[in-house]
Amino acid sequence: MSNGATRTRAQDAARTGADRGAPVVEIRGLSKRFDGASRRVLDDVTLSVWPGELVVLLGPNGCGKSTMLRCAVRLLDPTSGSVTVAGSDLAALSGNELRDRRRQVATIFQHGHLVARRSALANVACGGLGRSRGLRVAAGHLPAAELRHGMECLARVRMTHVAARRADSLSGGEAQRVAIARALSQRPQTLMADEPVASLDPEAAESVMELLRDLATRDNLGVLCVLHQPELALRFADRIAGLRAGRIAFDLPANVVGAEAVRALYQDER
Amino acid sequence: MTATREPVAGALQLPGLSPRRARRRVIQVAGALAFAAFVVQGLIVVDARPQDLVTGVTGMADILARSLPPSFATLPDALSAALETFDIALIGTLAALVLALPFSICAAENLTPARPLYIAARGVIAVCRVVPDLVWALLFVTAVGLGPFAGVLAVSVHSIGMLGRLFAERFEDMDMGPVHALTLTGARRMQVFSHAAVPTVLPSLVGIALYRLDENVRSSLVLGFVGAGGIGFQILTAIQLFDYPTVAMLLLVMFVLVMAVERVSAALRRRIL
Ligand SMILES: Nc1ncnc2c1ncn2[C@@H]1O[C@H](COP(=O)(O)OP(=O)(O)O)[C@@H](O)[C@H]1O
Ligand SMILES: [Mg+2]
Repeated sequence: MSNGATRTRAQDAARTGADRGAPVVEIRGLSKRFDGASRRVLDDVTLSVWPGELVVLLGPNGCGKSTMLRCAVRLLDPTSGSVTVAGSDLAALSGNELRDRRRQVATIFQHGHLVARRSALANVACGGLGRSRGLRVAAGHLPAAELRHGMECLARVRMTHVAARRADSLSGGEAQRVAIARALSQRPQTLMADEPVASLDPEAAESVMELLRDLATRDNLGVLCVLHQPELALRFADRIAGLRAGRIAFDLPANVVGAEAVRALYQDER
Repeated sequence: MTATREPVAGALQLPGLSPRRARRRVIQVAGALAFAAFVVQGLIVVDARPQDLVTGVTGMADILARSLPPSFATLPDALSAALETFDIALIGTLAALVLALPFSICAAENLTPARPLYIAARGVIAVCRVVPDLVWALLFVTAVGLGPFAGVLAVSVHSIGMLGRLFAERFEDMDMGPVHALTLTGARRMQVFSHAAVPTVLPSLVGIALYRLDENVRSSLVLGFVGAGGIGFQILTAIQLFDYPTVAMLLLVMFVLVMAVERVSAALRRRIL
């Protein structure tokens, strides 16, 4: 892999720990029980992401990965525990403060969730809405400055050639890259991704993973990526956290994680 | 369980007709009889007498003969009445559009800002829709007097109900992925609505509104019969004066108007969607 050298550096940083500064996202003691359910989907999950590292959350289907991510961006309210983003606890915020904090964390999903009838560029520029105020923007107008910045973000994911195309004419891989550009136009510190390559063909999956890797290494973003393919995790991550039945089974640098530990995640426990 | 029961059932059943099939047959026959009874009571209640249609044919032929040729002298009047009918529909639909949009946002489960607003908006939409526009017209004719303005009010109040409901349904069916994605970027509620929801549903909202305009042209014709202006009112007056050539001219103009609006509205909808 071409980025092998920088990766090793990031891993070294992950191992030493002391000089990493503050994490961009700090999840502490997070538990989640859905209303009416007896079992906790998440049980005392603790996980932090530092700038410049790609952390993969790995685990079998139904182990609670999406729930954890949704709690982390407060699409769901955790039952207990805290999520600290840039120094403040998301669960304690609401309204404008919550919106401001959310801007620091960009989220991408299995599908791009682009607005189908708008151009790729307009979709990307929408990532900057949180910074804009005023009636014109509230009425659907996109400021020229955001469109310019959107173009830079498209360039960052090497997608400027689709800028004018309608979002619903893009392939899955193109849509996902455009969604990542929209995430970047938020100017976030953290990127969260829930199985971003699950519905892509192997080539597109490869290029999206390389892009996420590169965003951590070169743009110093903290990236937390949910995957259920151990092979991709081992190749691209700085650090892998294994989630098994709602508990963190291990949280180790990728080059230390053994095949045995990964296999244990996928053994049926119930 | 089935293994022990089946031989017993087999011993009881008649050849060719199992108890289950027999029961289904009884239900079918009862259903057919009930339906027939329903139709018969309907025919009695509506006082259907097809023989009167046969004897009435001469009367209809007589009216037709007296209507021809249509009175071309009244064409200018007919055209201005047609314009009035169209304008009642146009202004009524536009006014309804402006009011139906906020009501439908409140009445869509996934967009409503608050539960009490949801219930209130649903209530308003239901009342506007369930009361027929003809009844609204009667009410507004008493309130603001005879003429096209009563028609505009009737059309718009009823259309708030029709548009409000269809818009709300469209909002509820919409793909929420982009809405959630933009919410997570830290965009404001109004920004999320105008940048994610509106572009997604706008073409179908415009299509629904164009279809409503088409419907409203037809309904504003009928509203004229209760005094709410337009070509319907002219037809009513001409019939009362036994001026059948004028009635014929008015019907001709009406036919052209309805067809034209229908065609144009359909063509526009095809281009948008
Ligand atoms: N809204 C919900 N209500 C109740 N249970 C849920 C809900 N969402 C997820 N779950 C349950 O939580 C568990 C974990 O789901 P999820 O986080 O989606 O798993 P993963 O993303 O790891 O495949 C599953 O057993 C699922 O059925
Ligand atoms: Mg999932």
